[in-house]
Amino acid sequence: MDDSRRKFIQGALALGALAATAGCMGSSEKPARWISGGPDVDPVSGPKVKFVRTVCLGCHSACGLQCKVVDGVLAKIDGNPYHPNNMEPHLPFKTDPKEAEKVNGTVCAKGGATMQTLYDPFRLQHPLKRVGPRGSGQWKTITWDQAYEEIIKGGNLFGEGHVDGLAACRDLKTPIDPEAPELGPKANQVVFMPGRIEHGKKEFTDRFFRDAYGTINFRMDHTSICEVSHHVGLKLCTDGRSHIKPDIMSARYIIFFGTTPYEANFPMQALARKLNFFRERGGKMVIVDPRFSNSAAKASEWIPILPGTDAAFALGMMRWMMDHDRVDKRYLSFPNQKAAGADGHLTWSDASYLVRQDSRKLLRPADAKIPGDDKGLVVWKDGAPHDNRTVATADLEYAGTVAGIPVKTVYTMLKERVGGRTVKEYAAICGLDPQIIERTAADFTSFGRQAVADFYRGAVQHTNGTYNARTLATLNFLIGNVSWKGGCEAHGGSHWHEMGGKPGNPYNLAKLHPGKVKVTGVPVDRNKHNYEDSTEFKKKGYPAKRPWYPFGYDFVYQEVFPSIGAKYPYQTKILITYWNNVVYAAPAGTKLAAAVKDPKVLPLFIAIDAVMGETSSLADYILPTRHFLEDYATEHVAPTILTQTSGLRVPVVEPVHKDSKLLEEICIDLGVKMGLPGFGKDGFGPGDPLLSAWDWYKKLFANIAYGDKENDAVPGATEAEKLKYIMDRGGRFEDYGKAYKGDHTNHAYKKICLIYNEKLATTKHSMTGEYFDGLPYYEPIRDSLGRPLVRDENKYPFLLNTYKPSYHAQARTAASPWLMEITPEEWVQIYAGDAAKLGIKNGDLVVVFSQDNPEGVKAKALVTEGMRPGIVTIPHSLGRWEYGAKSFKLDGKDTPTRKWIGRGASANPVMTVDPHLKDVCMTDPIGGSASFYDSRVGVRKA
Amino acid sequence: MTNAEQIQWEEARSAVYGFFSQAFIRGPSRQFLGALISDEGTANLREIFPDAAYRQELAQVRLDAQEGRLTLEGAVLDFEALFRVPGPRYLSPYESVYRSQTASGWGCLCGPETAAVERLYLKEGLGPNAEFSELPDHVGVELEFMAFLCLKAVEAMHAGDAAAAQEYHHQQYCFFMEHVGPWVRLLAERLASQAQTSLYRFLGNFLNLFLEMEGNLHFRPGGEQPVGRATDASLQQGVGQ
Ligand code: SF4
Repeated sequence: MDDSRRKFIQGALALGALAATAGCMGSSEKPARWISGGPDVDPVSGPKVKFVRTVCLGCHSACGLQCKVVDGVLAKIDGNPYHPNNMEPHLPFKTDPKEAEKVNGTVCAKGGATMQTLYDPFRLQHPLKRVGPRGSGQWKTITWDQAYEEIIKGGNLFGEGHVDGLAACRDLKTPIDPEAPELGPKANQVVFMPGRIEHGKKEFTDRFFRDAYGTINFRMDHTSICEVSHHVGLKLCTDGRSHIKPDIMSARYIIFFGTTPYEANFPMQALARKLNFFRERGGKMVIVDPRFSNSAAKASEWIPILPGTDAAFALGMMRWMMDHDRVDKRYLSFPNQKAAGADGHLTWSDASYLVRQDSRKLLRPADAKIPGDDKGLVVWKDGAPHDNRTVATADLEYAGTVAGIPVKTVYTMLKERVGGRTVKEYAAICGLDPQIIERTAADFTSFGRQAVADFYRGAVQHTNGTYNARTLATLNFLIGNVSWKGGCEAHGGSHWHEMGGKPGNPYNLAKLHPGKVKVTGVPVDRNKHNYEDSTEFKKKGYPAKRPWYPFGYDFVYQEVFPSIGAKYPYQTKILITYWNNVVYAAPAGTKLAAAVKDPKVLPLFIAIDAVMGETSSLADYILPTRHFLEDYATEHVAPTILTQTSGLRVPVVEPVHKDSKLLEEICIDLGVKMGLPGFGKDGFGPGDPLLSAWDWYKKLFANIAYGDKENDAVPGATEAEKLKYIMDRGGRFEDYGKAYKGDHTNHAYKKICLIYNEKLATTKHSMTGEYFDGLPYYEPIRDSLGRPLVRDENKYPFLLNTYKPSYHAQARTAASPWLMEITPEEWVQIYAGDAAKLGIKNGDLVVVFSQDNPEGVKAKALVTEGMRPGIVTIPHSLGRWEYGAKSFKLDGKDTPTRKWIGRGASANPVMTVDPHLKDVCMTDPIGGSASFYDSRVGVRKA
Repeated sequence: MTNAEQIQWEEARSAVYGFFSQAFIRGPSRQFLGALISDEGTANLREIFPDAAYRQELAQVRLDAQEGRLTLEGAVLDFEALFRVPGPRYLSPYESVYRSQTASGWGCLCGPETAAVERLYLKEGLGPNAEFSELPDHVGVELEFMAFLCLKAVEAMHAGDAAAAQEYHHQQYCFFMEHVGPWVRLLAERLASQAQTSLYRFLGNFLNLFLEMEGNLHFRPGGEQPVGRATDASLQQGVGQ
């Protein structure tokens, strides 16, 4: 044998001895299964398989689904490869749908498991009417005819006295309170409160409740328990945009405040996938979050901030940036679009605008006694005031007088604000080392316009949420990154306009409504209304009885039930909920139940729901509705997606329960029976019926197929062919290559970036009578009266945190056995040092309690190093007490239960109740966000 | 080669496959690291390939360990970053990630290759040990399967069952050509370039050399090269640059 071979053998055998431990597999007659589980990757293939493309609602990401149906049964869910959420790059739109069947886009575990909630045996199958006291869990099955008859006509429905039905409550003329006519007519006493409601559907229910029935309370949906102050804060920073996202595929540095894009946020799949590409390119991701999340595990840096102090962190960064001349002053000094455009920018800022120091208003040309109309604003240049539209640059810093009026530029005011504290002082507020803020500011300003500060729920679900949002957004403005490739994206690809009204659209749905009603009055949650305009204010001044939300651009969801309970600003006579579980999902939600329990306070409560939820269980009637896989919608996506995207949700299978109805069908039935305008055989106009959900959706889908612009239609000789073209593909999707135009994103935001918001600065808090702050601002946590929250820190030494885990989403996933197998219960996560002090070991049963809930909630402890000391976290989505966790009586018999659904705990029941209002959680007085992260709690061994 | 030499050769290859399998599944232990850099360990390893760069890298591992640049903790961290934690240096040590490629580059976990190798293991009656929870197309499992096939050939040769030995050689050929060959060298190259310690740089290059030799000696496309019939010249070629 050759020497080299001999040496190889000798060395190799010695190597073998080195590694001589047991291998990873062993042989036996019946070998154990490998964890990949099955012999085939995709067991569902072959000629019997029918492919249906739709849109997921496992979470709010709205991914495309490619569903495989065998003999009418949904057998497997994959991702739709045409949809940009599911593939990088997604398939070209012209790809043949049969060819596309060979490609699976990705789908997350939740999305794949939604078929289990479709076939959930605990779904409600027939209309139910309560037979005991409200909330007593006693029901009988009734027919739809009986349900409609009673809901419309009212009567002595429960043997508790007369109740007005929908017909009697539809009084469009008589004011609720003649002494406070601004509250509007009696029809407003009917409140529609959906939890999650999607595009296509929400426009439909607006048509029913607002434009046909005539109530101002036409859609009090859930966003305030989600992240509404993020939207409101951004709307107060832009001209009409409510969402920013980093352009991940081209950015080089991203700092995420209060969000974990690898497990939550939306579109979760696309964020996670794009971030993988970003990190592969060497991108730097920083996660600011008190919990070491999945995202933190993948980040370059984890910054465990004290909750609610994000604005202080951002102001600290600004301080360092200003001190080190790392602000893009050139960009900030452009006073109008044209001037900024000459330098390549698509946006400009208000940094050089002059603000009156006497009235907080922006200075107008008339104030400055210079030529110009009231659309102009005034800037300072060459020692004189100018109309902002007439100069190419302006002074960033100026403080003085103009025509006798004391003024400062927005930038000067910002600089003074930022300079009010040192970096060290800002860091102390955040509970961090000042070097962290300094290093972050240096990094953030080291990548040109390819650095982005993004934020989401964790930064804004605080009483100071809108201020946090405005302050964090301003970081982007200071480096001039908005709408640049790799920068901050405030528009995204957006969608085709399903409601019509654009040149290419065949149907303008807003106009196709004969007899449309114009609603007036104040909504029950006082959103978008100013307290100072009310009769109550004129009579008694500050404070209002309950807060008003002039900037509540969406709705203040958690405030609806307590307002009903308090009959403020007027009594609600009929509450109709749809897929709503505010009692489970809102902070201190368990306290809300009392508000709707008394029929004398709320005479009629109708829930439209697919299951017996914690909130539906309090209703008088439950009308069974469909699962999203049996339903329609026109879904949009977040600006993470840079190409135009309109997903179409369509029924994948026949309804599992034939006696359930789509929400649209229920509204149409009610509308036709009541003779409401815009419904029935001439619903859209003479001879143009609205008698089925498809009558509605085919018009919306057609608008998408024809497109917004003229000659923008998809292929197809007829409308039917065009509809088929988009429905075969699960929507309409712009091709991946259209994401960019030169150095900018293709569908970029092209308007102003507002550091100062005049309207905010000149509006007063309805409880304190003080002005809101128009600049980036750090405000400590306050209650509804503007007082600092006081809690005994010895008794309640922890701040309570929550998050959305990867395998569950809000209230909708606990019924999936697959997901419950992966995450069978949720734990109280506590920092190891804190646990040691309390003698808590991993797996011990512990109680988390608060001043407002001394009994607390119970779950096992997960002791971890991955948590800021002083924080405890309970992920949100389990700990159910209805939904099959307990039995109810149906037609005299006890229904079966599934106890496993009640495993684990929810953090919500122990969250802080507003010390003044005492019946609702604390709330951001501007955006209306419910405070999820400001509650102090104690932890003890059970 | 004589029958005894063929058996030894087969055992030696099995030992190398087994060594890499364990190195990539378990990560470093004090014992593993100690034995590797011991006088005897280094001397034996040195002899496996006459390649100069290989020997220099091996010497570097030993030097780093002696001078404190290579510690057990550092090696564990490197291993975790390369094989376990999906961070920037993560190798994704699964065949289907490398092979079920999409337009974007990388494939998915649990792709068709995962199921294919699982079927082969089950055919041989091989299941995962009780505490083992990796996917069947993990690089360590595939290399262990190669080690297993080599040993089965040894058993057959000991028993004088030429047909069975031939069958296991054929299985080695098929498994290498269909699974190991198309991706593990790429992983080895990435391992060598993304490792932060000299230990994993060395292991990456060592694996690459070994698989190159295997390819040249036994697993040429287009035809099976009976094991043990390789010429010594082809061995030299295999272990050359
Ligand atoms: S990320 Fe959300 S929308 Fe997308 S597949 Fe998962 S559950 Fe469905």
